[in-house]
Amino acid sequence: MSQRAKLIRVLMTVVVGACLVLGSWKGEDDNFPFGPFRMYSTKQMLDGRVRGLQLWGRHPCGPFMNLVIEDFGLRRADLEGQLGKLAVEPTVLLTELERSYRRLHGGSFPFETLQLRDKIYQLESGRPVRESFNILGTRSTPSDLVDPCP
Amino acid sequence: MTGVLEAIHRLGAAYASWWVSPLPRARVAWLRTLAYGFIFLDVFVLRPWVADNGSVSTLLYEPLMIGRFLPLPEPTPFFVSAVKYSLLASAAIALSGRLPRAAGIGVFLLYTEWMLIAFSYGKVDHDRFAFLVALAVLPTVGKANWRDASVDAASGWALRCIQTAVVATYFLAAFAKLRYGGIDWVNGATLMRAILRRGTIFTDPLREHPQLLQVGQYMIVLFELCSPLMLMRNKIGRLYVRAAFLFHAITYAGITILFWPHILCLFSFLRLERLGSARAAFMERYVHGPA
Repeated sequence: MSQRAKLIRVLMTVVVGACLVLGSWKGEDDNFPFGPFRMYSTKQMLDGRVRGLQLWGRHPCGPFMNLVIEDFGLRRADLEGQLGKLAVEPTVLLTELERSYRRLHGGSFPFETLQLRDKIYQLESGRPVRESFNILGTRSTPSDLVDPCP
Repeated sequence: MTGVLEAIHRLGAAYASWWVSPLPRARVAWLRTLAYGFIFLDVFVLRPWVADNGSVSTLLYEPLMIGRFLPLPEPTPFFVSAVKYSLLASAAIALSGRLPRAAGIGVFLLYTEWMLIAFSYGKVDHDRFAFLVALAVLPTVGKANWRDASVDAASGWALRCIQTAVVATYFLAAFAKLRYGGIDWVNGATLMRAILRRGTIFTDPLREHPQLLQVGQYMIVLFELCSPLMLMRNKIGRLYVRAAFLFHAITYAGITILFWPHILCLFSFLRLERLGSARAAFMERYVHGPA
């Protein structure tokens, strides 16, 4: 390898390294791939609450069920991001989830009701002592637009 | 003053020579096989939901900084499919060993766009940096095959970049924990939160032992802060690499999270070039052996 090629490569490491350090120091997720390495970086207080977003739905002739969010084209983490830092209204999100489900499943949609819930664990001294639900938003679809019961 | 300048010059020369110290070209060939093969696993098995993002309303699409700076199209079903199949085609060509530079650059650009699509709906994953570095640097080496016994600076630089990216991921993750969580990250209930959200039969019993989890939190940060030891070319470095693999195995068993592409990049520390001679010996003995 020529000296020039070596010099270019070494300089690139300095530039990329500087971007990485700057991103970790001052950047945010928006600066991907030079944003901070935030995997599991948020703290959880010993006497706080742990929240987990869930999507529930009900067929016209069945009970509420905990649904697989990926069937709607997104991940749970995406929904949490939409509700959290992107501040999308839960009912708007539910409307878009129904639309994307229909696109992914050839127009079919089997749920007359969709509901976003926060499952909450209350911690005391770091140990879970209580569980509860908080309903964030509900959306009903007219029965003529929902698949009939199987 | 002259002494200071001389010291800086020596430091610079040492820095430069570390980055381009020769390493086996065969290891690059094996890493290419793993990296380009992983593209198929990622697209079809690990993250099939990225393709589904094309069907999600563009109202929920929030492009990252690169996506706003560059004139990248919004992810419609057609565009996402075009990126997907172009990516797979480029990876297939790169896997064949033909056009290593052109196909490799294609994979890097298309996979970066694939990740921009994936991360523009509310959540950015942070396990991809080392893999993106790998996709960027592997094409710079040119032709390489599994049995190539040569060592050269181009291979050395590419492998050093991937190894350093792996270490930077760990080290800067510790920094992020302190930046966003502060001391409460290690003293709080961080792992308890992870277990409550996605625990397994192995970790659910730990709900009754939060103090054990706090010890685990301190160990994680210590492991990450000491990760530069992985770059040492001695027993300590090799031990630390094994510890990294073990750390990820424990994480998967405990909360079913596995940083697949990052673990693939950990293989850059291993002497993959020995697989070439092992494969040749196997073929000689069992395939082409005496009748």
